[in-house]
Amino acid sequence: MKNLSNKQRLFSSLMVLVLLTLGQNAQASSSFDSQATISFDVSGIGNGVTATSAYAPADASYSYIFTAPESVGAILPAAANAVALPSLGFGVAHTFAVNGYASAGSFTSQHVGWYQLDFLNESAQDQQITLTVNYTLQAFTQGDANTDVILDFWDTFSPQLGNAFFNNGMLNVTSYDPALAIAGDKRFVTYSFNLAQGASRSFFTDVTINGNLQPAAVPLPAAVWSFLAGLMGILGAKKRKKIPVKFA
Amino acid sequence: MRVTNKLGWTTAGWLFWLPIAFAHGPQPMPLQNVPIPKVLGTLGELPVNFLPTDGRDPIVVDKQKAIALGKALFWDVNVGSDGMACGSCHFHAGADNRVKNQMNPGLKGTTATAETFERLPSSIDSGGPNYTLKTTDFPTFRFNDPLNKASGVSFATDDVVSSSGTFSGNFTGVSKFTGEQDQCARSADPIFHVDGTGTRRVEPRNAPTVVNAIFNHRNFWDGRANNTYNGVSPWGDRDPDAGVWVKTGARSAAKQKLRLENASLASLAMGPALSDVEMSCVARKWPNIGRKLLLRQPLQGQKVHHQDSVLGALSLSTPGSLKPGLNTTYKNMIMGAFNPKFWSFSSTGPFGAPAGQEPYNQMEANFSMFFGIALQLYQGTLVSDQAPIDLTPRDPITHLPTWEGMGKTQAEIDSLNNGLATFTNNHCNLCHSGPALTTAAITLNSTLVDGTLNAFYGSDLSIPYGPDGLGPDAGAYAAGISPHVSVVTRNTTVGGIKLMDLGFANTGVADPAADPGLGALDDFGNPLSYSDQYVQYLLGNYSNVKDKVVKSVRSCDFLVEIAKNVTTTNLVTFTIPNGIQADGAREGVLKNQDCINDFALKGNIPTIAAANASLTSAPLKLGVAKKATFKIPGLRNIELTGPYMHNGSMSTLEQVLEFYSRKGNNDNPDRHTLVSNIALANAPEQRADLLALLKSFTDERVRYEKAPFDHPEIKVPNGHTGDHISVTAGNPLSAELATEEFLVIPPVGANGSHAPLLPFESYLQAP
Repeated sequence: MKNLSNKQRLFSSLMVLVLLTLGQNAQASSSFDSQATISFDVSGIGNGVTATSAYAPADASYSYIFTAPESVGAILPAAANAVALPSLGFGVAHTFAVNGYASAGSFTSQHVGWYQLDFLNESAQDQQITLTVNYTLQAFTQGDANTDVILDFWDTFSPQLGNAFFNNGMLNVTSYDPALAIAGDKRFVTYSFNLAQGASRSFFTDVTINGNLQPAAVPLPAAVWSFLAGLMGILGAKKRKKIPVKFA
Repeated sequence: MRVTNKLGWTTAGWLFWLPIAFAHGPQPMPLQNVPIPKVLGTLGELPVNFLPTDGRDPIVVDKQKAIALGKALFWDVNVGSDGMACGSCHFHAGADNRVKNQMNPGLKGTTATAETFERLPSSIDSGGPNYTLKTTDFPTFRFNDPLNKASGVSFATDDVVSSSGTFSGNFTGVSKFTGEQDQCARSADPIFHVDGTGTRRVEPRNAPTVVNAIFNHRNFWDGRANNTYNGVSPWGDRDPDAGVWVKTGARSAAKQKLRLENASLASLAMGPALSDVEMSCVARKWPNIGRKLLLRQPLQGQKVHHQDSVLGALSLSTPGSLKPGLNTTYKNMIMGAFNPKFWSFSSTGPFGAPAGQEPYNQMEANFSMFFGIALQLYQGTLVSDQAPIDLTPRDPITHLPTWEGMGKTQAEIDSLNNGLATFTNNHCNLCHSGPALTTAAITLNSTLVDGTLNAFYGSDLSIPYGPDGLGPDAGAYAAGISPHVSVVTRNTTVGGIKLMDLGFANTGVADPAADPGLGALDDFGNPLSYSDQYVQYLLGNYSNVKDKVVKSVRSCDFLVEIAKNVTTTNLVTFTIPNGIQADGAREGVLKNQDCINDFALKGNIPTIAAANASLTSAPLKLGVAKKATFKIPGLRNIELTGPYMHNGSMSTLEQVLEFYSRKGNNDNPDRHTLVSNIALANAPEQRADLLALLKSFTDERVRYEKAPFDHPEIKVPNGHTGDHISVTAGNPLSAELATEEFLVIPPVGANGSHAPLLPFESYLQAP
């Protein structure tokens, strides 16, 4: 095999550099940071009525992180949300949060947290109870990212009482039950119900956070292209000058 | 006793005189203040409301937002796999005026040349992929004397002038945020290529205008866009697996059957976006399109005019600075427009998953339904009701146009009046009927002749609904239009009296072997034709009746009866000796109200036994005209929507009138006999006046793209670098594909464009 001249070696090295650069386009970064902060209030609790609130991470089958091959980044549910809290207390805020970042590839995630309220009427009479779910939904994204924060409010009698769906700055709140009142600022809902003597009733608030990260490949800046083109042009011009000599 | 029908003709007289003496019938009426056919339906077998005005818990919670979504989707080139939007073939008065790379070899046909490009009339070296059409290429089916069929065919081809679409390829994936192109394995097409370098494929049928298509009972040239929309495919009730996903609880969702009637444009929308000729790579599914689009800005790379009549408020543009995209995402638009039960299920799970990717969510799974309904609602706004035919004052009694006070000279008024008389005398009006100028507008036409509604239409709401609602002397009846939606009629063809689908006709445009039209089968092997299904109904094979509307067909509205309450016998009509029964007796609900014909005499059908016996003894009685039968197009804006006919074989209206003057190109058994009675060959003045009338159907808002016909910017593939002899390989999509040329249609706001749209002929290359 013929030895390469120094100039040829320089040219080859530059070509390898160019090809490597072309093969690994720069990546933009994408990220999201989402959370729902929930607290419950009740009124109308008389003597003999017990009310408890609890949080638990959803069954494993409800949550997932899908990572495309050769992705760079991570999706991170808040560590605290992995811990079940058998008694949240009323008026106490609890935050369910997920964030993620990526610089290459594609990530999709879904994380679900379950809140439960249990009422038991052991008093001697029916009780009219008003339940309030306070919630604040936040979602921030950067780059090619999208996230939903979703809150489903339901109970064993009504599989759908209310739904709050927050995406890209848009909050869509739906009430499926006339007893469910949505507050004007759409930041909390109230639900009034009658709990008969001796009866129990449970309410559920499911919080889902979806994440999507797919940072776009960013083409090389024009300046890099013109530098490389110019460099190769100079090398090419020098090489062409030698040709007549070679064949002279 | 001589029995007469509502038209005042004896039965014998009806048949004999129909072609010659009926110089009346439905008239070109105004489209102003007519009702858009109301969408009705069921979800999971229970009645469902469509719009908020229909009642509680509707499918669409905000109609205006759904229209905005529909307009964005219609024009967004990201919907296609390689840059094709719906609007890419419907950007010029709702149709397509491109002239380069618009040839299909006739792939709908069974002819020997169905997959082979042939030359065109202009020269030996013409036609094929990437060819630029010339004025001298039209018509593509021609006679030595264009006014005389007996003069002999001088040129014929089964090649079709249509619209170029996608390169296609095998679909592998999409990006959720950026990039116009899907990931597909692409290579040169064996048919659409120039010297081995792939070109974009071209549709097998001419792209018809979408303007006023909302009134068609079924859409596509062959009617395969079912009147009933099932949420996922064009096939309505024919698709046994169709269904949409409904959230039934916080942790549950179920697939439910959707049936929306009068939603043919939603059915239509299910087709092109997955077609590997029109917009899509092979094996792409609706949830894939949802995954590609939902998180994106609508019209991501297309400028939107700040004065866009629908999208202006969402645009990022300001006066003097037009910007691409809308200030929202498709997901947010769907959240605003549709009932949350179709998208708010927070989990994945039951909706399936593409191989190697994350599972679909509910919004992706139902994306087809959002797309279909939004497209129908947007196209429902594309009603052109300000043409001269709409704006003319009308006679207070006959409601015929007077053309007065419109700045027209007496000579122009005389010409228009003569044109209208010519239109009627030559029975153009018996197919091009009613305000939409087509009998395919079945629901609209039936509504306007229903006097029980006590309603009025027209610019000043002066035209009452009722028997005279489409023209004096119960003119509607002459076209088979009755107050009841009856989708089959019976009329005469070259091959005898046959059942035919109302709103469809074979006029002999081409060799029937070149395209079966309505004579084809659907994806499940069922006939597209309503008439075929009606025969199955008559035979008692009820399970073969796939479209429920066929069970409502009323024999007393047929133009020529199928059964008659007399004791004589003949070869084409069932009579008492054969065995007949009153129509509706099978269901126990007589179909004997408001009949076009006398119910006692003609409101009959054969018994099941008689119908089955006739299959061998008198097969003509159940004859069906369906082959090479196509949807009758409306005539509005026809000046701007060339090329004409399902195969794009004519470039000018003069050529169309010559075609009718010579009574069609091809005499075949299913050709309608009305064409045989056109007497225009020796009447150049009448042809000129008819042309003037046709031009009175053009709405200036369409011509100048004013609201609602304004639109975002769109970059339309317009052939390839080079010509039909040589192209340049090296398309960024694949080295095997040709590099492209584009037509950039600038964004237009509500006030329209200064430059008018021109007839198709103007864009053709001079010889």
